[in-house]
Amino acid sequence: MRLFVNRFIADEAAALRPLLWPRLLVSAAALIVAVVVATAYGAANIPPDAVIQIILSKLPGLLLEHDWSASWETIVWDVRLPRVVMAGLVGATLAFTGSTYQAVLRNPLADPYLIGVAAGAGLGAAIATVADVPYTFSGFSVLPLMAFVGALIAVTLSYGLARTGPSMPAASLVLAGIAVSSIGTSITALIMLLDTERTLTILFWLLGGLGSSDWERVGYVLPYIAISLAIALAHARILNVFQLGEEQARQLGVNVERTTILLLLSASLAAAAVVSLTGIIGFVGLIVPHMIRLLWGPDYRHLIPLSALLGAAFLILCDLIARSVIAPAELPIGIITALSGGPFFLYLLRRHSQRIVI
Amino acid sequence: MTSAIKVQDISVNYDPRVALSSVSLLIGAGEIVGLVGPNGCGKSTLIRAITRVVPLSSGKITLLGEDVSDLSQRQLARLVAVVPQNPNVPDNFRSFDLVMLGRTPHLGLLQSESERDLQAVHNAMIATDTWHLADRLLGEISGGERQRVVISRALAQETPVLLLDEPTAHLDIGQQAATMELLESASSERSLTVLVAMHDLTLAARYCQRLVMLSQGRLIAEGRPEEVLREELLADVYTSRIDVFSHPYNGLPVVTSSGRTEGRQYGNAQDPAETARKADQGQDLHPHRR
Repeated sequence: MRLFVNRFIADEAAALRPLLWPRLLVSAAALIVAVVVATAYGAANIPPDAVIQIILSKLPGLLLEHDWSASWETIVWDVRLPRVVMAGLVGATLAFTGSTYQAVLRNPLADPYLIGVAAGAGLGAAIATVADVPYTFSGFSVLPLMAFVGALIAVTLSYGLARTGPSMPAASLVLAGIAVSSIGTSITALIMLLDTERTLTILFWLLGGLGSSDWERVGYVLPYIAISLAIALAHARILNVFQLGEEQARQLGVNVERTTILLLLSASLAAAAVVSLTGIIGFVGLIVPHMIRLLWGPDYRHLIPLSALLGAAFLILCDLIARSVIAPAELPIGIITALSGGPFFLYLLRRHSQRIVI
Repeated sequence: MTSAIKVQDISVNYDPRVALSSVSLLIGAGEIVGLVGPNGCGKSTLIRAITRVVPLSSGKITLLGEDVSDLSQRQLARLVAVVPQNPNVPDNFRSFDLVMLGRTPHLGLLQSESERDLQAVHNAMIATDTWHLADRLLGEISGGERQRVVISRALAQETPVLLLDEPTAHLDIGQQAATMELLESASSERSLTVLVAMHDLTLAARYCQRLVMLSQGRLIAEGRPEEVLREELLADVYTSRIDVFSHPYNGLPVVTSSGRTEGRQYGNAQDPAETARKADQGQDLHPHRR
């Protein structure tokens, strides 16, 4: 009898909870389509089925008949795919770290750049550019390294300034982050004005781009992203509790300080790694999580993985547009993310304005 | 009697203001105790101190024999659940999901909700008569329903101690009584210890076995409702003229304020003292019910 009662409740409750896997399936399908289309399209168009075969042939244990030219394989595997994969990783990172920031700081306007990552990276890159450091130094790329260090310094500063004793109010962190970002941005602007010859170089870096992606760089960001995503996924249920505010989260048994620091540091690390290689790509961290909220609700157990998948798909398509519109020249991808995502976002906002709560 | 909540000589300072000074309190397992006193007297601070949201300057709090400061946040949340004064409830959460958050202290980081958790949520929502609202968004239901959903979340936490900070503040008088009856039955069914901060002294007297009165951070009276609700004491604490009547039907204290203006008339009544005496004796006021 008890079993029967349990089953009855379980059935009722199951109807209350939307399943994750159909949404994951749809999002993964969107990502696969984006990867194939973006890899197939370019100066030389390659048929999508060939693209799929070339990619599959690289998987261990799959022996496929080679019926494509070596030049196709080079274009797909060595030229386009690293860039597409990098775009995917960057989009995924910006989107899931954006969701994390919005949840932890309880601020719908939070994005991965809010507490200084972008300004610090920009300043690091500007200093590296004007200081005439060699692009590589004993095997390391110096500019990304300095951008990474700049980002970490800025985030550490924001934390240090916002902390008062054992507690760190979310609002203080947001304000400290904005102050640190303004200082960093101002110094970068000053450097650009003082060294007008390199202004354009710095500006291009600041606007962001994926032009210099290769497998080595993919390998460099991957560990940061993987660890950060694992931490965010493990805390997805706790992020739901955070929506009730600091006091109630505590009364529900969450160690708010420790969780906040862990989640923000891991998200900042992944964002810093990504920014150091591709520059500042705005809007993704803000728009993708909100789109998913508007479509599928606020549960972070869905939001984190779906943000990663759809953020990846979104940025891959934006990069495809950025490199195709005025080919062979490229547009800064930040322009495309804002121009394509903005109107769609506004449309969703108009339709479900009452649901735009974090 | 084993004490569920034992507050020993605690003080809390909100620099530089003293929020609580030398408060001591014993609450037995299964008791329903009302925490009363004017705005800013320290009711909410006491609830925050017990759940360690604000640090103690001195003193010690034990819950079922465990020193609160020795427990992890999670262990603490398995002993005591809180219904806050103005609970922050996201409009786009479903009732069911909010109540499920009450299971947080029982779930590990990578653990997903089991049938046991589902059962706890279901029981809590049945107890508060909110199961039919399970699939509704919190933004779509009424204030009274939302309050019951928040109480369900605290019940789903399945703690031996429940603290509530003015749970009846925004409810109509029918809902106020219903909420207090809900606490009464939850307390007796689950042998739950309840400490409930409230402003409505009549309601507190009706449903609480004991009252604890705070004023300016100090505990100034405790005991059975009729012992605490004395006119002189209330006049002093609330700096207002307070009248305490005996309810004509059940004899419980009925408390009203007649304001701070001396000699103010009571509606149509000619002689306040006369009216009060009649009310006390249950005369004439409701002849149609006799």
